Amino acid sequence: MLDLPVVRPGVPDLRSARRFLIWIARRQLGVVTSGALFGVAWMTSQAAIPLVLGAALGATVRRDRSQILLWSLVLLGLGITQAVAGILRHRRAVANFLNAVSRVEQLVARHACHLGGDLARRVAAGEVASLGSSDMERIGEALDVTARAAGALASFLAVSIVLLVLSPALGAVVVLGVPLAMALVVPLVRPLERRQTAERETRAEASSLASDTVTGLRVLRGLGGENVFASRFERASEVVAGASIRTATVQSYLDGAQVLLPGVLVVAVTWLGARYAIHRSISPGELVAFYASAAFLLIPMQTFVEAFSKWTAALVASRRIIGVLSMQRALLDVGTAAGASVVATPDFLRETLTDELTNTVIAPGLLTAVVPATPEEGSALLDRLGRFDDPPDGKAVVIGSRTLDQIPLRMLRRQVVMLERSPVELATTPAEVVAPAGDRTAEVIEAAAAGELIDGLPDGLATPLPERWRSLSGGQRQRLALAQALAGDPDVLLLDDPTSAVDAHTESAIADRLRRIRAGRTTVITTTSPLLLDRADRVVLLDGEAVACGTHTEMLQGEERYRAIVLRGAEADMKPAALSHSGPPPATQADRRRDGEGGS
Amino acid sequence: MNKDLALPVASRRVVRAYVAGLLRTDWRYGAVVALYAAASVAGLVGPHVLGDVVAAAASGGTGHALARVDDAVLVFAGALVLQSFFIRGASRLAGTITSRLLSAIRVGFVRAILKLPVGLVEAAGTGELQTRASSDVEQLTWSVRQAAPRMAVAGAQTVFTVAALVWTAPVMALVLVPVIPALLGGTRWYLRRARPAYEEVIAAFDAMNARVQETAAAGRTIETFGLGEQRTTVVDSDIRHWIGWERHTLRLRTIYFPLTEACYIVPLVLAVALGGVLHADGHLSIAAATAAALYTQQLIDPVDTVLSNLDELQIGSAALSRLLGVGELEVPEPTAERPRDDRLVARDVHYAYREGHDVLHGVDLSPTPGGRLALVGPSGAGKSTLALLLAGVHPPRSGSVRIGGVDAHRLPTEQLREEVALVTQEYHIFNGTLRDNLELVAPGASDAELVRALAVVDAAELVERLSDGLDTLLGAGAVQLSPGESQQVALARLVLADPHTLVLDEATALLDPRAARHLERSLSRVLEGRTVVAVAHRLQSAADADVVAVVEDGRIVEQGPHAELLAQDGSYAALWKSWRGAEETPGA
Repeated sequence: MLDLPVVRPGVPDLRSARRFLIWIARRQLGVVTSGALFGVAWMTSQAAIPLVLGAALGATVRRDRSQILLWSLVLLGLGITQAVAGILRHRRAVANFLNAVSRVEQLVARHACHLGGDLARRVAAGEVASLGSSDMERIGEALDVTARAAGALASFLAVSIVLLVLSPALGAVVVLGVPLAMALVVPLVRPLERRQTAERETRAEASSLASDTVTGLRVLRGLGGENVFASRFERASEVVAGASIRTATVQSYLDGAQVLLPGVLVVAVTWLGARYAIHRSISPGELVAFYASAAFLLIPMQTFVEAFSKWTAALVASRRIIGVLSMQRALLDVGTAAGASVVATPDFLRETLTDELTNTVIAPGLLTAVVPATPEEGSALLDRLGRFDDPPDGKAVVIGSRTLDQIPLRMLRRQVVMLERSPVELATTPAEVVAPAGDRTAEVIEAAAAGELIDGLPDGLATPLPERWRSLSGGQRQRLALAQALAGDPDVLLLDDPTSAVDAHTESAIADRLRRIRAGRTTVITTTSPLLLDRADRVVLLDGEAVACGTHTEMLQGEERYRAIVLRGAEADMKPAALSHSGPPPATQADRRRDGEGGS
Repeated sequence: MNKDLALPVASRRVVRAYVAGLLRTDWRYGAVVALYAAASVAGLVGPHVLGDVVAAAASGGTGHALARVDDAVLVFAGALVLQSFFIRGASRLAGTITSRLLSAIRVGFVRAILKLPVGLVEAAGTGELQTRASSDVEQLTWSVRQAAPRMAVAGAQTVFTVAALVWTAPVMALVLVPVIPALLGGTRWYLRRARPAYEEVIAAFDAMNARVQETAAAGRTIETFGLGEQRTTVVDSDIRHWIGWERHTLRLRTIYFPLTEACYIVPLVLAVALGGVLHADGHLSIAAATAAALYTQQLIDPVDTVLSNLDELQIGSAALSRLLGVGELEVPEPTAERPRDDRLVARDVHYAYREGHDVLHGVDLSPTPGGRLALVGPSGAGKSTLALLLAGVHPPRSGSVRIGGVDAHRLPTEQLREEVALVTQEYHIFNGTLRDNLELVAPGASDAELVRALAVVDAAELVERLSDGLDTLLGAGAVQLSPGESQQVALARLVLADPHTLVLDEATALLDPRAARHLERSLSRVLEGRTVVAVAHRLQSAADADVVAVVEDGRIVEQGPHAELLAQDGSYAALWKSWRGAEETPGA
């Protein structure tokens, strides 16, 4: 057995689905070949059994004791060969399967890491099919079946030759009759597949309804909609039952045909063979051989059909897989371009970062807050500043004297970290999340106000968190993600609305601590919370472009638009409609207060 | 795979009783078996005929022999037609009854889920329930539709072929005897070890694929924090783990398969040798010797099928026990009592998510009907938990939450939703039409009523915006509503349910300010005239409430109107100062 998984999965041939499959086979050629050889040994010994049976019965008719015993021993030998070759074939087939699947899994995982966020984005947009475990399995099965397919081919040929030699006429009946019997079954296969597909679809719908029930159970129980839902499911289940009965009807015809058609062949062979035997054209022993072989030859035929359908399915899966593997990154990375020269990285702590598209200027070493008119443009700005997206031609993101796309991505990512609004988190433990902080761990956890949430977990820092950190609430997820972003102490930290699900009390604490821990480094936060804005060194109002900037206080006084966004954002809670009629809008009240105090 | 199942699994006895009950009550199961049996008998004609033909050929004498052959082959052909006819009938009947059976099990399972207490589902994790709902159902379907019929066919064939062998030449049946203990013993040895090993294989395979899927979905996070190499290593180790288990099961098969192959060939060899010698000594006719050898050979396939499907049946039985298990949970019957009035009273409420760790310690709360109560306090103080209990979602560990004198959690949910409803960030749009989503709450409502409810929450334009109006399909694979719109649908459901009390838990937290404002307008219309208990993450809402309750460490430390609490200069006053301080100019 090969040592799996391999260290280097190799560079695949992605020119077509067929070439990809062939490439996989070539990478494990040794196993494929030995599997085929064992398959041939296995099935030819199996094929020889009916013939030897015939010879033994011929000897019985002649009452030739020594021959009887001889053929019995040959039969035993064949049986042992079949058993040994069979298990060796099986082991090779499994090795084929494991090899193929593990290689493809490795290729996909490595490429996904290389593609970064591009893959998820294009899958969500429907441009690229998402791969499932069944795609991998199909590739594996295609390789797995080669051993038996080789055996089937060899044994079919061998038996055919022997029969034709024994009796050309009768042999021809068998050799042509077997494929014919199978071919007559084929017209039933297409309608069966159609019904099966329809049935699968209804089953998937019922299954997703059941899943929906589980996911929305809490809401359902709160709404009291159980009976309605149960009736709905019952109806869906009825539909499934109906579809599967229809499938079963066609299947039953197929089952009957699979007994009748080959059976007719065997009957015909028996009748013809009997006449030949009576006219002494063949011996009684040979008659038995023909009978048993006719029955036997169905097995290689069925194997051909199985192999063909598995190879077809594998081609479909390959197409989907090479769709993913041939995806290129949207961003051009000078770091991986051929002939790239070593570039000195800019000093992010001293040089100004500018987004030309919106004229947003980020001064180094300061905490800058960006108030976007819409959340989307805030995220888009940070995506450009962190180079997860490139601005359109003509506009660039400039750091000092260089543009961001001139810096190798790996180097850039080490110094500029961006935290998205709703990041997709990996299953991990809080300890791993804050690991890069080293001896600053306690400080980082405190800054993100994540201490209480970690203490509340059953095993504290070592508690395993599931995919997407599903066991945590929205606010908890945000705080832990913030800790993750702070852990690496990057020169530039970009945070997209990092406290939207956090309550006022905690947000206030985070605002103070964030300022302290990021002193001397560049931080950019998009937010509309006055608590965070008040602690920022500079605030930028973003509405299509950077329309104003200053401190929070200055902006409140001077910018109408700013006040509108920030103060109404702060009051996005429940408030009885009646109250909004009872007094003047808060913005005016604040104005009046400030005017009265003569400003500051 | 999470082995800590909080959801029960039915015992073997229960499963056996269930299956036995099915077989007893429905005559069609017996009919299927009978048809398969008849097909098997018909299939036995072949070797018998061949035996006759061989005898005819051996004896010579053309004319008479030819006539004998023609008669025999005619019988053969007739039996063949009968066999295929019986197979067809059995297959169709089996398909019908198994489809209905699976439907009944599926529906029973979903009905059982719908009765489950929410607390239990959350403790077990929806993951476990999802697995039962999807892969256990799939597993059972496969077992019932494929494995069981194959077993039935192969089982019948085995029984009748052995019978035919015995009837043809009793002494020849002795060739089977040596291998029976080996076959049975070996199979038991294998199945006992193989099944737990296969479960590990499946779990490892699923984990490996989940890991790769996760890598694809979290690509951006991986890129941001430079986790690429780490992921590659982790995926490689997952692959190694899976292959380790595959190798283990392969080792088991490496012992078992050759054993069974040996057990198949030995009887055949013995039959040939024994039959030949017996015929040579004149104790056995050639017809019988031929037929016996062929019957022995014909046994191999059905016996192999029975052995290979035994495992499938066991897996299916395990799946069935998990599906039936959900229905075994003791679920308390809802009370028939009805609330006297609209007062919501929480008295001395204690609650714990995990045994021994109370998160609420003796909370007393009783909002004035028609008034507004705000719950404030730091994160983790227990506000959201209290909200869940006030809405009757969980029963308190001790103490009571009563509406009009009746325990909230004991009311049937259709009654409860008319009394008190919970509004949270968590909404769920079910896969289905917009009408489906609203009708959950009001099964008989007319389209006009549904549209009116949407209008109340300022969502009338939603119906117009959607291409098929109320008939628009929503959810996975169809139209996705924005979070704001989804919340509006959730609010419209509330309007239809018309409870007198609402418990709010920061419904707008995850929305951007513009959507939040729109939703807040919708929400405020729903609130008019009702009792409202709101968990306030933004202190502004506390100021507008009639009464504020400050929750800290699972206790209510201060309670009263806003102005009064400010004057007390306690926790609330401190919170308020910190919030307001950010908006006021320094030195105010």
